[in-house]
Amino acid sequence: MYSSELIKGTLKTIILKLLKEQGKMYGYEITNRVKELTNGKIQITEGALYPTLHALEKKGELETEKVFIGKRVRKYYTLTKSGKVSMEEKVTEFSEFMKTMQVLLGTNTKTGNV
Amino acid sequence: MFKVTEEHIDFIINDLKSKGIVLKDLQENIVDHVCCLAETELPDSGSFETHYKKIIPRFFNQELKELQQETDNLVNSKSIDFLKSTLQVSGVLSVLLLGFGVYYKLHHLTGTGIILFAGILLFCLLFLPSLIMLKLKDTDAKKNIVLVSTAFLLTLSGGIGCLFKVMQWPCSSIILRISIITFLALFVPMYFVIMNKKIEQKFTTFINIILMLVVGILLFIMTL
Repeated sequence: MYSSELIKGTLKTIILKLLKEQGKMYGYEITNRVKELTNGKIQITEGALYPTLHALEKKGELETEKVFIGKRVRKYYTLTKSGKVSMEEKVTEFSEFMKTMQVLLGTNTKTGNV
Repeated sequence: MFKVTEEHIDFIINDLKSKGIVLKDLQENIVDHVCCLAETELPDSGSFETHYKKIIPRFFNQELKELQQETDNLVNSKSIDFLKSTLQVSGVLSVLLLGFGVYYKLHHLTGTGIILFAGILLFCLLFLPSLIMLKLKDTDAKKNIVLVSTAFLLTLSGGIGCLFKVMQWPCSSIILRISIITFLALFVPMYFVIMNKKIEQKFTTFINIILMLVVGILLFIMTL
């Protein structure tokens, strides 16, 4: 599992990208999906997830839909137009960052597209 | 699969409220998340309360209130940045204007009054309100809201007193004296009572109180 310090800076990118692919998701689903996709190497903590979701919602990058399950409320998050733009920017920025880091750390191996 | 009941939901909500989670949206998120965890991890006959105690530490490092604070910080980060910029710009401009004002006054140049007036006004109407708003977003300062608010009001009244004095408007000495007396008789004792509780800050508190008393008394003498 990667350290929370490494994950912290990429959390918004992960959430936005995941929502782009999945359409709409709720908090628990996001943590589980990330864990599943990364074979448990990336585990988003609940303490980091919800503040980030709220910040993205406030920024207008996410919108929510509430579904009542008895007394319990489930909030489904979806990307807004500006969220989609922001996601593209963040993914591009992070890809560039990874390339730079590979050069910097000397791990730039030509493995082709995965 | 474990079935979460309405009583369980009430139990979670009450616990969240008592531990400082005040934002309704955040409460709803946590309730749903805890319910999902209980439904997937608990056996049918499991104890919800016991499992809840195991689940809830996943949401924080030291205390649950961190989640509320982190949410507030992230949600308000733009307005905090704006306040900080306003504070920096208005602070530097106030000092510059007051500095020029003093220079103009020493050399008996025209425009002294306007420059000092602008400097004090900027300090009182932009710098101080930005400072108090920023302080009120700070969790530690929130605990001492009375102290912070009194400091703000006293600095404001002191600033207004100085403005009246510089502009040679009437009642300047009265405003200044009231501000200084309130500072010495109300703020300093309040500061002592609040800050002296912190054992590690006792020496700093003592020094600060001596400094405040000396400065207050000297300022009061100047108004006589």
